[in-house]
Amino acid sequence: MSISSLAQSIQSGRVSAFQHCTDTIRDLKERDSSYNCVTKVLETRALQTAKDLDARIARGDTVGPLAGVPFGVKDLFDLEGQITTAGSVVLNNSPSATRDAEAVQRLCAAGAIPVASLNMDEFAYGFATENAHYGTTRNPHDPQRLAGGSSGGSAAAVAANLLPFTLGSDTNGSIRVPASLCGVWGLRPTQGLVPLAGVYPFASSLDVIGPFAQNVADIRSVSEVLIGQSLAYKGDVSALSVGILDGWFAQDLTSGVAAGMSAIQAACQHTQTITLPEVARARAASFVITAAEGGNLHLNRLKVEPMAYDPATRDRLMAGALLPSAAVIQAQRVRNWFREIMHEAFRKVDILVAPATVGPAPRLDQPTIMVGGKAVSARANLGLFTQPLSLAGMPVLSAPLSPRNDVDIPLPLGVQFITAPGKENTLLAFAEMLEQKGLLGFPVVTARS
Amino acid sequence: MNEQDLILSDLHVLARQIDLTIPADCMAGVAANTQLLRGYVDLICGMALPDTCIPAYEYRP
Repeated sequence: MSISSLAQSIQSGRVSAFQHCTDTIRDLKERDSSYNCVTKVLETRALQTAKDLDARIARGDTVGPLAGVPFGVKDLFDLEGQITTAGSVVLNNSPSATRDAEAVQRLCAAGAIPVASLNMDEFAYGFATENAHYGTTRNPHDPQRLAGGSSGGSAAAVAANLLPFTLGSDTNGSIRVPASLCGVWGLRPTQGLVPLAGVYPFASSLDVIGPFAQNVADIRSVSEVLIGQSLAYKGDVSALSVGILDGWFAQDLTSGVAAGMSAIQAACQHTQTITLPEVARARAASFVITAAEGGNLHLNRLKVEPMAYDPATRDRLMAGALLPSAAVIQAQRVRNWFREIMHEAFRKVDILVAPATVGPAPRLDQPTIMVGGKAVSARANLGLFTQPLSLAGMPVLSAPLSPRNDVDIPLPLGVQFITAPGKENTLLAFAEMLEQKGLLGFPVVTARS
Repeated sequence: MNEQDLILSDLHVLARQIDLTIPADCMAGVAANTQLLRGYVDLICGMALPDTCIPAYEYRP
């Protein structure tokens, strides 16, 4: 059932918000032990909110477009009355949040009900959701594989059909990587379009928040509330010009990703190949800015309680704090240069298409993947195709390819659609066209499968 | 002094500049991450940019 159908059922009184919320929480408690998506269940708040919503509906009050729809948030969103832990124990003694994050407030005003906070890499610094404090989130399509990160709990909860939508954050690919590996949709909106108030920062000059959902229509429903405007597209979708990114973005693709890219190209009327220059340097700049900003943010705590951090996070943050200013300033100059490169690309085409990851989710015990003919760290390189695009800050939609019918048990694979700033409606319309052609969309894991 | 000792010595100097003490148990991990970052720093610092290309402090996409 789509999000809008569920909300309409609740608005009309055919489905009780309280009963639906109760069922959702029971399902979370029963099934999450297989995946470890959840860090906190907000049972008291959620059930009271649902009860109040049913009463408002019974009185004939107008309720919002997401009425009664349960959702979860990555563990770095403020939730009133809760301590925002950001996947760490370092903040355990911080005061509770006095209000919800701005994005959560917008969703609640539209009638949605937060029911859980969700697992992540500590302080969002990772692509794996392997967390020394809260455990590893497992991929619902194969629990012996990574869910990806850092918003792994948010992606896996949607892939496991535990929640119809969730929120995550994306600095270098933390929405797009787990969306791709878990077979769900994830939107990184234009940088600055959705407010970050009440979201614990990672690298604030790159941080963006956005939704995960099971299909394009649901991404649109949630994004319209988050952004505060209609995302309807008025033009002719078939007339959109499409650039297939090659060079850096065509390296080391598994056969499934390559086949999916070819199928998308074949389905579009106006395509050309685009080669972006200096992508390796764009990725390097993103790496350096992230490390420096993250390291600086945590420096004072690293001086007094370094051993309280997840060891992997701590070592990355310390190395970032030691970066020289010349490198950080150069990275910010490369960023401006790369922005112009991206705008130049969008003078030629409306949409760029790139893979989201080189292949399917690595196994939990798999330390490396092949890149450039070399075995490299799987975890550090899951963002190979997402990090360079983060630098430019343009909107990017991660979309799951449809399952291949030439393999017995297909694993999810994802692609990225990128467009010019503020054109999220174009992205969604383009993706919807491909979804209708059967090229995009991966089935979720249900309780019976 | 071998390469690894040089790296560790550099780390101590850099850490002292920002009053950070790197615990002995963390040195290997911090050194590995610093080596990784140095590769990226080399990449971006090897890029010639016009003087008019200013840093993106107030970044708008």
